[in-house]
Amino acid sequence: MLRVTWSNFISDLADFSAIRLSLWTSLTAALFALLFGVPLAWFLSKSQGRAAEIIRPMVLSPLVLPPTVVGIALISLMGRNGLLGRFIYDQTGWSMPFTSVAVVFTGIFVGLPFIILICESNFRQLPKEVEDAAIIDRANSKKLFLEIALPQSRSAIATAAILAWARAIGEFGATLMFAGSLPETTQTWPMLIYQQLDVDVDSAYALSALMLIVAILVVILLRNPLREAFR
Amino acid sequence: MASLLFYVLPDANASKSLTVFAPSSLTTFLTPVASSYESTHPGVRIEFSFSASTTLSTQIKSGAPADIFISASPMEMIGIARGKNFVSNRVVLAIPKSSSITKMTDLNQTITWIQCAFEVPCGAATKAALRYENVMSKPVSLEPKVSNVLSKLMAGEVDAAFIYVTDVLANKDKLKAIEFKNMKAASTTYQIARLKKTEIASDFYRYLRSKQVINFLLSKGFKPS
Repeated sequence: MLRVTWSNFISDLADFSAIRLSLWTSLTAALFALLFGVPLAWFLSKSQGRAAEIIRPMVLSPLVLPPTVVGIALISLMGRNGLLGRFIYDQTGWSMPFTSVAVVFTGIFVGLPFIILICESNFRQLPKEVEDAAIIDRANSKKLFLEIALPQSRSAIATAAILAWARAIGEFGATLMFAGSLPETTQTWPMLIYQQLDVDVDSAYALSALMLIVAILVVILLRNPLREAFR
Repeated sequence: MASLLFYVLPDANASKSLTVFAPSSLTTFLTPVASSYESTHPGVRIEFSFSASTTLSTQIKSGAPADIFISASPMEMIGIARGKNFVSNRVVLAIPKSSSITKMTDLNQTITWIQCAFEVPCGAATKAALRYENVMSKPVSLEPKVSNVLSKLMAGEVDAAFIYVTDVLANKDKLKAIEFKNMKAASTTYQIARLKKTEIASDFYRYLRSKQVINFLLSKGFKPS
């Protein structure tokens, strides 16, 4: 990082489209991971049945799988010949690989495990007395979730959101396999760094330095505001 | 218990190991070449690092311990060593055997096609050769390694792809090729250099450049350099 000559920093960044792409796709991915993952984490924390024992490992699997395998899994699911992808292609002529949607989808896939891990653990640790009191007052499951559990989970949700976002923006291998790499559409910030390493090393260093700064700033600055936002 | 250690500790005989950095387009061809060399030279173990030539070049410049370096074009040798021409290869349009594509301009229909990134030899050759064709459409992805391009084509994720003729020949039961008008522009010359002046490196380097190995590669679709 010390190699970055700050006077050339902006010109070394070369091209902002990869940075823009990474920022909007990772934020969108984190948002959808939250929308889908927080209720799912609630369900898993309350579930007694077999369903949870099957769903939980499936959702958490991207954590332990190498990026290539995650990429293969995504292609098997949403590729042109994939389980779901084949059906969508036959009906609409659209397929997910090589689109920006694929970048977001991959981000959701790899960010979701963090949401589930943090939020399920959080929901399990909420004080039972508050919930029991609400049940006595005839609160249904939806009310319990929205009005009792969520307000107590601001910190956990904020942390989960940041982690999911961080994971999505740093995602490389699986995205490369599933979405490919095309400037403007699917070439993300990490992919541009990878490419520039062999082409213009100064640019690679500048892009990396900027990513490091953004990552640190996000964690420092957003933790408390996010927690408050979920109040 | 002590005998178990023999499986864990490095074999004293195989203390002669050689690291060869080579482009991914040579993966299926150099592996058997190395195996046959190892069988006639007991104690020597050859380890390959197959990747895009540009990546290998960056790694060597950063101090990666390669004994021999083969690049898919002279560009990646610059700043590393004086390379000698090895063999040459050319890029073609590869399609599944069942494809209805018959000429380059068919790519202008709604066809999903990909190629290597412009920075790697395979992509540079594709870009140069495409100048002589009337292809208006754009690829949906610029892959960093030719092996990524090949695997996406083989998996049916794309309708067509620009890969090396050697990759098509290695998969001739599934793929067929359409040649460029300007085959010279589509060609790239591989270069080889010996980076460490050790006896085993020199010996394997000579072997790689021998008639036996070159003829084997020519039989797989490479051309003399």
